[in-house]
Amino acid sequence: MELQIRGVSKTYPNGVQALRNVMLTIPAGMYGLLGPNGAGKSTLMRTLATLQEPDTGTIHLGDIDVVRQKEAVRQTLGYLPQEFGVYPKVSAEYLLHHFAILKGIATRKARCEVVEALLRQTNLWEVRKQKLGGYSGGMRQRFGVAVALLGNPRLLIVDEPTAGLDPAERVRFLNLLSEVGENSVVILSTHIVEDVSELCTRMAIIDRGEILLAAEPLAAIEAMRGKIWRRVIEKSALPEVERAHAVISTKLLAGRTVVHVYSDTAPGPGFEPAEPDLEDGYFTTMAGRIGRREAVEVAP
Amino acid sequence: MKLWEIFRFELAYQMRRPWAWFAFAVLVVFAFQSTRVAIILATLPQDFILNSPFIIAAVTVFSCQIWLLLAPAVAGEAAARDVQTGMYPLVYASPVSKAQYLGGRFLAAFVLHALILLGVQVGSLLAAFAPGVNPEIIGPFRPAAYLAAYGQIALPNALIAATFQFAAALLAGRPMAAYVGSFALFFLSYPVTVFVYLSRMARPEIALLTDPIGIFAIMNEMMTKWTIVEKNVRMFALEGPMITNRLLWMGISLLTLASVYLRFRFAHRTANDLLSRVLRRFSRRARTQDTAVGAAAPLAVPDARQSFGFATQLRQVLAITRSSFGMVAKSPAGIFLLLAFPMMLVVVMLVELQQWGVPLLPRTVELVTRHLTAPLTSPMNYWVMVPVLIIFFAGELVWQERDARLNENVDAAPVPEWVIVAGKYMALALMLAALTAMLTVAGILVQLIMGFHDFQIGLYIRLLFGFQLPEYLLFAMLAVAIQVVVNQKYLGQLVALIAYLLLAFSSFLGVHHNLLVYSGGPSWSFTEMRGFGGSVDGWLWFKLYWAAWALLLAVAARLLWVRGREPGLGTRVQVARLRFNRATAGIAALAAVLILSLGGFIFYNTNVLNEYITDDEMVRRRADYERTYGKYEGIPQPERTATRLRVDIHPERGMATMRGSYRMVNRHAVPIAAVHVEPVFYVETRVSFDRPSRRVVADDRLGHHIYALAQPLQPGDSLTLSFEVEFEPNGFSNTGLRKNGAGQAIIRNGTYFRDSALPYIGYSPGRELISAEDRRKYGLPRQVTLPPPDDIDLSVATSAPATFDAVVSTSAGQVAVAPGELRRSWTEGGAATSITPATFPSAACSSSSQPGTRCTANSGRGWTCRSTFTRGTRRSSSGCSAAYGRRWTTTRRSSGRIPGSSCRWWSSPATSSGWAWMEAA
Repeated sequence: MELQIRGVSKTYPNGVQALRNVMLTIPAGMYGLLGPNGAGKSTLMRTLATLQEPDTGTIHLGDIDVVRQKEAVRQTLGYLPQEFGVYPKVSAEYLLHHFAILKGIATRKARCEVVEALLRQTNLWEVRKQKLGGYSGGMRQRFGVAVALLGNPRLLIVDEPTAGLDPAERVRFLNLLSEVGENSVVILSTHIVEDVSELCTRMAIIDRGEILLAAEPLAAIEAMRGKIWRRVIEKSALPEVERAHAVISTKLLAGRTVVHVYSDTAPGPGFEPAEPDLEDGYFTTMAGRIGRREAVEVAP
Repeated sequence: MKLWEIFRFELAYQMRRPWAWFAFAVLVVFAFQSTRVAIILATLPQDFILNSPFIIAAVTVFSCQIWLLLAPAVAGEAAARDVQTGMYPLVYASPVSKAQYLGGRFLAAFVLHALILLGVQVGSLLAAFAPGVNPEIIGPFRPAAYLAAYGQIALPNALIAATFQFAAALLAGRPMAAYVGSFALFFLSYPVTVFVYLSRMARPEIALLTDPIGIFAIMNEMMTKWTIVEKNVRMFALEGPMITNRLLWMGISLLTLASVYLRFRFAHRTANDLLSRVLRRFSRRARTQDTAVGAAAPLAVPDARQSFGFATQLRQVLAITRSSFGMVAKSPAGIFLLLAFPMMLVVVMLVELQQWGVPLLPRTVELVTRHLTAPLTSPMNYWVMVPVLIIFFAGELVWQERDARLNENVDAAPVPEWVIVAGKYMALALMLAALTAMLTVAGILVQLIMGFHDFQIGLYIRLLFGFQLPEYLLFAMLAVAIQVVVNQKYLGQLVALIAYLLLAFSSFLGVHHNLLVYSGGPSWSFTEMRGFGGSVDGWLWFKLYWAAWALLLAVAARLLWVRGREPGLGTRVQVARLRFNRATAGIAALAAVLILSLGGFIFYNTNVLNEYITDDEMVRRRADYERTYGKYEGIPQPERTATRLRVDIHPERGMATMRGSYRMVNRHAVPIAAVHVEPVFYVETRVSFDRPSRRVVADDRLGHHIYALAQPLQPGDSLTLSFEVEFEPNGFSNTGLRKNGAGQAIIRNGTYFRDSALPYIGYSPGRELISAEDRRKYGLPRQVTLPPPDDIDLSVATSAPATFDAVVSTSAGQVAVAPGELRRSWTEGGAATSITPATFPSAACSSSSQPGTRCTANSGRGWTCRSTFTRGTRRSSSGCSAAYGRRWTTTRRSSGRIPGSSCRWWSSPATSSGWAWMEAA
């Protein structure tokens, strides 16, 4: 089961080109889609979730044409949108039952089992009878996960799921996702790099509608070994350093500025080699140092 | 299976919410009240049956109109709740087909509507069989009648309305848009169809087809074509134009449903309103992507000074007004009110500017008073759209932030509640002012089209902005206050609509005094001759009184304004207590003082200076009158042979005196022992005879005096009755200045006295009750409404020619007019007077001579007279035969032949009815 995205482009009516000729192959397992806000992640996610039409291109899930055979896709789709609401006046259990029927789990017994299992898995069993209007943000998110997981979907699309969750909830959520990903295609779209580095075996970086890099995280990190340098400077010295070197990220550490610089060779005094992580890879890609304009497959 | 689940879920969800039940309850009450109070039964003076199929069908029809405005939330929620709550991505990504999703939701909406409409039949049933009704008017229980009404009227309407409400809400992505769909149907069914039909713009059969709810088609059939017996007995069934109408509109609904189905897609929704879709071509390309990643010089946000004083708050009010007004004015309903409604009025005016076929000049006064203004509480024509839309806009404004999920941002801003409430109210007020301006434009447009250029803009502004706009503003405050207090969108609309209905039908519910009916009061009137005729005083005081109440409502709205996440009433009351500061107390106290003082002053005028009589009391008095004095009907009384009047009118002081005498002759064969005099109501009347007499009965309440003569008046003898009537200004009454009878207001220009300003001799059958139900209630026998054609009214048939002599004086610059021929006019110390004798029978009406009257004997039945006369450009020919006089009251006389009598045809433009009688030559 593979998701093949070929040449997908989309321009919104107000002129914004959200996706430019996106080409991706996503096998079963956890796939991370990383990118800044406005990169086109949500557009791509919605297109994969059959809620938007691409202007050009094709998408195939196995032999199902996602664009043309939406019904077939939806039968095995789980979608957790970035923003969604719920009916405030019904309980989680009631609504989950409703969604279970909508997803085709018609027999009462099977449905009850599934609903109970999912509510326990998302840790909502204790509060299943409460009205959804009274749920906190994290609880609502978990409910959305439960809905998405109904029916054991083989294509699970999760759009910015951990934004807004507290650290413990985030860990629980990622654990939950990791259990799913065996035989399904799970696409995790996020701007939090840690999510991808912790969970995903493959990833793509997208910005302004273009895939800048599609690789395995570990391979991407390896490719940068020895090219990331680190230096602690004063804030006032920053413009100068930026002019002189290829700064890929700046961070604050106890009030002082830490810059990471990309360079094939040692950039100079004061710089020490840094252990590259995915965040560096992300910033490097965004800065255009690697993988610009076309998806560059880094051989494993 | 999935369709069933979607249907079941939606049905269960809505049945757990209050608004459907509320709508059901309101319909039960409305149907109950309509049937019992029997609004339409005024047209059935004879026996009627409360649960006849006609009544049941008619009540169903009218309830459907109300239901259209009450319950669109049902279909709106079914269609658009997913989009409104944001749950739709979860639903759309499920393996559900369009047919299942839309079908299940729509069926749920339809079934809910059908269940709500059952309330009408329940109400009708209760009205007929619950205690408290006269058992004589209950006919046999015919379940077929209820089923017929429900199945043939209510269910098709449920389908049609559900379709349009559903489509509108689905298209807009908001449940409230269903209301707009309903308004469109209501507007088409009620004002448009009636207008098209009555103005004969199209053939009647075509006109009846424009009514989507079938109300007019059904009512027209039944009301005009069914006889009274049929109305009691005949079972209702759709036929003729009714069926065509129903089939047409059900077909249109199905087509609409089909197009909704085809157009709908399970897709992501981007916010796209009508205006921006149109303007999309001209908008610049949006840039949503961030510019260069990474380095950006730290941004220095300039330090703007904040101020929180009163001046800032005023500016904030203006800002809120501007943005809220923009939102409302650009919505489809706003565009309808500001553009489509005035345009419709232009068409109406162009078609309706005629009186009995004579085209009228589009004078400003004519346009404004007849077509551009209407009392707020007259729900009988298209003007009902304005209060309905006011309620709708009030709801939208109060919920604007919460709908946009912006409310918590706004609530946390340092803006006091009164600013928000004031801003929203001002937006609604601005909307109404814009409507008034558009009405002015509509009037001017009509005048331009008809080539009339005397615009009198000042008059437009005075009347429309000065008189009509305040009514709307008062109601707007009520609507806003209700929406704030009832903190639920649909219930707010419902409650506000109920409040409006209570205001409109307050007299049916027994509340007559305008101190108790919000925004009530006597209506103003304006004609070019009389000006306002003193009608402004009463109007103004009442409006000021209600404005004080509106102020109190505003305070309440501000105190109970929902801020943050605490919608419960208990919490809000607590918060209201915290908000109650000195300024609030001050304003509330001011409002209370105004209410008490103005109310007291008004009460003094309406109840102390004037007599306040409710409608029920009036009915009771009329019944008592008939019961007590009915026995004197037709007894021999002297007849007037000469009337002399000396009338002194002082228009600028609002006073008049009338001194006069009747010379009366006993034309009967028996002596007359007592003279019955009915003095004029509401004023002082003093009566004296030229011979000894004793007042035996002086019933001022019922208006009947009996004077016993010391010596009975012998046949052929005559006597003189002198009287004096004083008209004095006495403030204003609950219904304004009296317009007829004595107590007629003496106004600056255009004072008009009719024969009811003079004492009447004998018993006046015209005062008896007409309505069969009223008569039954007071134990009075049934009345004959249509006497047979050869029924002669002896009192009219045997009256002799009488003379009429009047000296009328008024202030300089005015002209006195009386019936007859002008003999002399002179000025005396600033007063103009004239004498007019006339040889007409004693009735004071305005004059016109009757040339060309010819009478011929009619074998066995008396005389036939024909006269032709011209009025304006019309020639009419009328005749009377066999002494059947067409009077506007019932008569009960036996017929007979009167020898030696001749006939005169009389026409009185004032009453616009023909009188005919015989008089001895």
